[in-house]
Amino acid sequence: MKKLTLALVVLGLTLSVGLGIWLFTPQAVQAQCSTPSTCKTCHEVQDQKSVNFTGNWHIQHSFVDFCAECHGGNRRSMDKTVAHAGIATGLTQMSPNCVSCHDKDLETKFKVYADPLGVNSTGILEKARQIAAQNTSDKATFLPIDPLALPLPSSIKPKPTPSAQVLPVTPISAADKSNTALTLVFIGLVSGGTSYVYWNEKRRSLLAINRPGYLTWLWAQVRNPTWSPYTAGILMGFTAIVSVVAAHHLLSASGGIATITSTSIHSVFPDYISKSVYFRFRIPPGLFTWEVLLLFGLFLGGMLSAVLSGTFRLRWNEDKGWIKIYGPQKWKRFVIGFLGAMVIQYGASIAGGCTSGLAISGGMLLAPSAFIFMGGMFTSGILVALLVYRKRF
Amino acid sequence: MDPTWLAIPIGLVFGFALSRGGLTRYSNIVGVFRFTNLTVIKFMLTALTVAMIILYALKGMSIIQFPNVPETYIVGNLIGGLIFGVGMSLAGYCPGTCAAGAGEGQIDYLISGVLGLLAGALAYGVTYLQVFPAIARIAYIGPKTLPDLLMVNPFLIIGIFAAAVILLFYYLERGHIRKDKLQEPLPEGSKESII
Repeated sequence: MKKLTLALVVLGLTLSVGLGIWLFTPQAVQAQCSTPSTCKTCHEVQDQKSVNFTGNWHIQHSFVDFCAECHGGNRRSMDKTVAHAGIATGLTQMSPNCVSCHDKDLETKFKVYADPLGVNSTGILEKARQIAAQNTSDKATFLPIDPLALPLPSSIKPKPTPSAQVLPVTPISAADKSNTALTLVFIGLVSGGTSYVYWNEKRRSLLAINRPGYLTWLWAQVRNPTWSPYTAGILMGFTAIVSVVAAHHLLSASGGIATITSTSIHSVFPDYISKSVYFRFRIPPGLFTWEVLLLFGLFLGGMLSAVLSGTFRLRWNEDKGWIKIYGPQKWKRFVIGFLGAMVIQYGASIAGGCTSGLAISGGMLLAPSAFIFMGGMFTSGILVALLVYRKRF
Repeated sequence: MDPTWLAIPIGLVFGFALSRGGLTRYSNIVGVFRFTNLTVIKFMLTALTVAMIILYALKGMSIIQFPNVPETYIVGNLIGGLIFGVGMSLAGYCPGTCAAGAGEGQIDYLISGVLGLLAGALAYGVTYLQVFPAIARIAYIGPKTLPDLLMVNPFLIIGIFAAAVILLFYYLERGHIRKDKLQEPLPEGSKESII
């Protein structure tokens, strides 16, 4: 069958590309959050003293950016002495910090590292629990939020240094001359093409009679609910550029959803969040973070577009394609929409972003992850569409 | 001003573009998986090409630096994409278009979509430790870009990409696209079967 062959070819290509690049050795994750700690910046990224592969304790804890959770210190300072002020070294000294995550099975977890090192754990753990208990009284107060404002679960607090609060701006490296030349060529091509199109359109428009004025044309576009996807795509591209240039952030949508979830959980079950690695370290709760505000802006943008084109109306699924396939029942739309959305968010979280956060934002930076993600998305999307539509595919 | 608040105007234009591009409609999203309506492909590839040319040009002139590059862990990205595609093909939205569609007044996007996304985030947060660390370590490459990995000039890749995109658009606009069977009634006596 033709369409099945096509789908299988897409699947095969995606898999073979993935397997082809699978020659790289596995590594520990260096920095997953958008605000990595400066520990990872110097130790791992700049490789000044990489520890991700030394000692089981580092290897087993290197999947998240958590140096400061165990060692203390100032995770935001690029200055070596400030960052290292009051850090804990050695298992005995760090033991109070183990309690914040491994309270229940502290003895077993501690033994794993204590035995090979020959550390006698009697007495240490009771003391560690006492110190940790003193420091957890303010645990539930870390909203509103900067991930770095989390309470350090340690008796060793870093000295607050005013200059250490702000990351120094990384100096921009010297210009690469070949890139500049190529850029100029591109700019020349783009502006040349644009002026040709402009000239040609003007020449052609002289032939037309009764052409509308610019304002009339502009207003017609504002009222038009559907633009050419190319025009909308160019607008989207420029939005992404402005976001990088003006705000120094990438676009994202699934990150905002995860942050809202984290915030809701924090307000309902504040205890759960201090135990959850995901909601405490990767997606810390917050109300006015970039991701959440962007999601709010997206909502407003959809509303603005619909109001301007006069199509704004509260409605429940009037899509003809959907009704032809699934029928007009509202509960079907609810169930399938709900389950689909759940799967979407789960997949996006594993992949590291959704269509806007990974496919467009990553793709425009030429990150291979974006293209792998798109390959996977189209492969399974086509297969599921085949299953749903069957004869009508 | 704190650049965080720029998120609202940027998100507003982003949502406007998604809405006007027609990405807040079920048929347009599913059409791309059926090869009958390639609005999404046109929208995404145009945005990608424009953004990558200008961003790499600005970076080449040392005007900007990239904020952060999404990390590559091949197996995780692929599995995530495969799971994502299932949901997108069934429900007909992704997180961004869900928010924009809700703004347009589509209550199904607001209720089933946003609730489902929040439930998905909760489910992922609960199972995070069992799922993510194991997947992210396989074939981990890190926050690298293709020009870094292949050690070539980025404009070589961008040039090839842009040329391929323009060729694709040319053929699409010439009408090389499948006919939508939904527009015609099913032939008499045809049985429904899985694939």
